[in-house]
Amino acid sequence: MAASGPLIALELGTHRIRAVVGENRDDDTLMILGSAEAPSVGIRKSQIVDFPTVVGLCQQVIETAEADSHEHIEEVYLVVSNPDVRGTINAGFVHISPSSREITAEDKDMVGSIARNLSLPPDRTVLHSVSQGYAVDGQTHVINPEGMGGEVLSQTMLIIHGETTPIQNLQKAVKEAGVEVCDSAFSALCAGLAVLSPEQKTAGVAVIDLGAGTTGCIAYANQVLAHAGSIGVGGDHVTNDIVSGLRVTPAVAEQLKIQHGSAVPRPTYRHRVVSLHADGLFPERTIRVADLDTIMHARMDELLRWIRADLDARGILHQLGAGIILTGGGAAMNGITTLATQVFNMPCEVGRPHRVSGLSQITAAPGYAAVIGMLRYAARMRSQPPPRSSLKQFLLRMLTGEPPS
Amino acid sequence: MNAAARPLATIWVGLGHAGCRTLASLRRQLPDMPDLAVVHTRAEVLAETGIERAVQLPTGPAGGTGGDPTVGERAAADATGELRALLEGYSVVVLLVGLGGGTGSGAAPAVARLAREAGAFVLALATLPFLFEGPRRYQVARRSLATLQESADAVILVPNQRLSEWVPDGTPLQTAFQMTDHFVGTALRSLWHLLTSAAFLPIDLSDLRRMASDHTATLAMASVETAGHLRIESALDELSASPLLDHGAVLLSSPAVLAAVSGGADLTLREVNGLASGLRARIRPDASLTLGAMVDETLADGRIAVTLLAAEPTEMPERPTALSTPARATVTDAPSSGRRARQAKLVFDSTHPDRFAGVAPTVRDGVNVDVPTYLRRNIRLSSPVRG
Repeated sequence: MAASGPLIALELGTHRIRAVVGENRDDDTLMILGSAEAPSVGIRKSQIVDFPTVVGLCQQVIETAEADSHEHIEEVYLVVSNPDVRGTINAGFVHISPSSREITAEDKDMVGSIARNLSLPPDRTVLHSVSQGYAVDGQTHVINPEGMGGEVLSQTMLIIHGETTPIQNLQKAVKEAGVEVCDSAFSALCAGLAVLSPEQKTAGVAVIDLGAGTTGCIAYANQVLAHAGSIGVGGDHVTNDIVSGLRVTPAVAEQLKIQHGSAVPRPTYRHRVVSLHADGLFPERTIRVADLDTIMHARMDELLRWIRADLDARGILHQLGAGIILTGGGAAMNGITTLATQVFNMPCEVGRPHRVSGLSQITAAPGYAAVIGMLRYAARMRSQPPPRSSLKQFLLRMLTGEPPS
Repeated sequence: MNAAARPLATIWVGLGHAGCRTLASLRRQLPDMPDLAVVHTRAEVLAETGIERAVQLPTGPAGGTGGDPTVGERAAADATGELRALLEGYSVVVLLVGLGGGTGSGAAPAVARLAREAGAFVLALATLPFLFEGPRRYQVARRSLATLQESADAVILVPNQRLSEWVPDGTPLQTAFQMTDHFVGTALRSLWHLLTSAAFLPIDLSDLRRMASDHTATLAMASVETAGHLRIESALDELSASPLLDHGAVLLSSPAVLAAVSGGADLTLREVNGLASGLRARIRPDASLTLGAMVDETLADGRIAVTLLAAEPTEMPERPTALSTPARATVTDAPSSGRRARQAKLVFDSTHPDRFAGVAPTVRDGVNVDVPTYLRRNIRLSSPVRG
């Protein structure tokens, strides 16, 4: 792995395949050097259903990104999504040697490996193990227990895991396209790295990453990464619902969704209609905007309420002082922040990557949040190359904001 | 409307301990019951039910079967003449039996066979023991079920274990059994209405036989009553959450589903339509759906009752993982999200010309949420305007 030089983040999304080339500056800002994207074919709900096509698209996007950035790409950091990502909290305990009663680095390593060791069935694969902090004899929220006295050291971790085969196939497609995968990270987590400020993490915040195939969510509460999850419902479902309800082709439905529809019904548009030209399948006709809004609202309202219920079930819904941040292509939908504000009854806004420069059409588009966040993830991994064994330890610190030791 | 062909002469027979107990409690719930009869090896059990028509199966001086189904079977054979006389002249025989003991498990297949020979349609409602009743009773029940399925036209199966999550911790044993009885009673009452009233969407006995698909499937059953302006939606939600349908997993894997709704005079066509589309969203895309609807004046205050029967291919009363349906079904227990940790996933071999072909349907709380939300929520759109 090169210690410096440009970083490449790649996302094989359900709607778009995107690559972004960037460089981390000394002031910890990201400079975007180039990008490429292509409409995705052969991926449904973040799972590959047409492998050779996806490999071909992957090659094409990487080549375009190389030409755009004038960099040669050999390895990428891969953003992964999955319809069934879950976060499981796992705790580890160790007894401190009674002779010394002092917590050593070895104790920390030991408790970490126990907390990380969640047994999962073979069809589940761990994407991240993120520390939620230590406790010493019941004193919680200990950031670094090394050197402290005590009898029992415990650590809790949020283990983020998804379905093994679809995730492996995303990685396999990239390798097949001729580049190495340095690391993979969960899309909603990446989006959070791009758009969240330290203040928001401290106050408590949830990121909802509205993809085409899947919707991901992460939440910070009580100063730790408290939740991660996904649902296999996304923008494609909205399009599909429009196809079903208004009897239009998927292409027309996509266009109606983007240009004319809204996630909240608009009473003033009650009588507004959109004219559709005749095409091979349907004669010329008009569509009521009210119907379009109704269909879109029903789907997005349902989706957001599920996420609300998941956050509530984990007891973190009322700890989100900084509210809800929306990312992903779905965040560009008309009315989505209004709807989210209604559903969550707290401030909701579209997340913008911060401390990023270059190519404003990319840095401003919510669909790029995850790949940009991936660059940040990659940059931090590279800037402090840790010994291989404690690579994950390092990541934990990075994600929890714990100061480097 | 084939209401003219009804009512069919029907007798309900309680067999063995559980069957007698259920029928006795049911008798108090239903004023317009069909003919009733009880069959047991012990005279005192028969007497307790207060049901007049009773057949005591002969078992030797000690009485009872000692939990041995072969004793029950032999006793039924010895009482063939009496049983034939009991069943004669009926077109429909409904057997109530708790499988796992000696009398019910042993005698039920024999009684079903006799009834079939007499030309009756035989519907059996059988319960499987709670797991705490021990593996032996469970094995006896499984074996008996296999023979009962052969001899009856259709078997509705209620695995008590599925009901057990309704039973709060610390519930006395007797209360637990009473809850089972109550459930079975409610379900049977609606079934009785279903098969006898003049419905505007009638359901036929042949529908039940078809669902049992040549004795290879049993039927799971759940029944709910709801009220309010979202009563159809609430009914669908409650049914999806019902432990008897394994939180919707049974619906998602069943090849054939039958639903019947009854309501007062205020039951609307739109609601029946809503029920149909709501169910469509909760079942396999290739499953057959039969719908029945009727007006039941006894349902006051805007209440409706929805009863659901879903065919379950045999071999799976407890563990949906062992399903042998055309769809490959797996149920994974999430190690994480405690409450409703179960997500059923179905991979269909058939190809569907939709957007999500080739990937597993997204299932939430037992519902296939790939189906458009507006359809599942029964939201009406204005019809497309012509240009």
